[in-house]
Amino acid sequence: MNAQLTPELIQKADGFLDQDQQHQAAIRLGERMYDVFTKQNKERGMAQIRNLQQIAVSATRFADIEDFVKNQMGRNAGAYEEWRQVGDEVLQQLETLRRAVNDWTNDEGQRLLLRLHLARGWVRAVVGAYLYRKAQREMKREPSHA
Amino acid sequence: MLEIDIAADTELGQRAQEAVKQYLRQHGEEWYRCSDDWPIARSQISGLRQIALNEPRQVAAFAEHQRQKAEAKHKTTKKEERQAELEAEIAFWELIKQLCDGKPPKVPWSLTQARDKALPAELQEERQPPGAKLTKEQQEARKQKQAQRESWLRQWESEHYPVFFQRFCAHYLYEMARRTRSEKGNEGD
Repeated sequence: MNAQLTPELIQKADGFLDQDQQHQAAIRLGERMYDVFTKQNKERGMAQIRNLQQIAVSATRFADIEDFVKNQMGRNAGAYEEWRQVGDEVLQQLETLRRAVNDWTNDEGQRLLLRLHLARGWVRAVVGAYLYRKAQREMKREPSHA
Repeated sequence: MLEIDIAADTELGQRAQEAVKQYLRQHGEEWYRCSDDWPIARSQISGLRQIALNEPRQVAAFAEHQRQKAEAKHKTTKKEERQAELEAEIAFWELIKQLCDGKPPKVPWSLTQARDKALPAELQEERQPPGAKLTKEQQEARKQKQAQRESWLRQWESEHYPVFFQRFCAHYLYEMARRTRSEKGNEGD
């Protein structure tokens, strides 16, 4: 199967991610993930967000990203408590991305590529918001050297 | 991009999630407060996923073995609560067997049914009329086709079983997590 994305479809996907509502939702999620994950252990939070990013960037199936979140929530060790606090919101946002592409094309191959394209854009926004929040918090804590 | 990637994201994945939902509608009790209350432990789910990944053809046999073990316990236990737990466990392994090789009309969809439906026409088994005698060449051609069919079936199973049970197990663990949110677990990663 050799589905390819046309420039029009890519534009549609990017336009969707740029919508204020989508963008703000991703940012809020990134900030919330920072707050939740760093409450007890700062390093753990960074590792978790990087894992999510890694999965989203390398996945060949959108389902792998969803399953990653479900598996993290389903564990009984590690950061499972934090994932249980944010996991439903992550899955809900992924579901929004999943549904969005259905209106743009009927080709299942293109739909899969679009879902992955959206997931990668989405995770960039989430991670960006996470890191920005982290920087803000660190700047507040550190005394000024100026 | 592979067909299996699309299947994982669409029909196959949906069927896996739907199977979990359906099971929990019948056996997911509201009173489950911690994962120990659940009929199938996390370690068993992990075992199921592992077998589907490494030995897809053994999943149904594994499920049958687990079912028999639960049934034997059920026969010897007198506690009503424990009996109910074991009944839920038996139903789970029965479901796994059906998902592997259930047949219609009792089971409208199973991996075996999906596999047989996907088998290319040129690899379908040809029935010989009774008493038909094949030449040496025909016998050789038949053997070759059988080998090709077997190889195709193995390939299909090695791709689809892990994907299906990956989705199934992840969704089961997710539902377990949702219903036991406040549970404390083990420390460490």
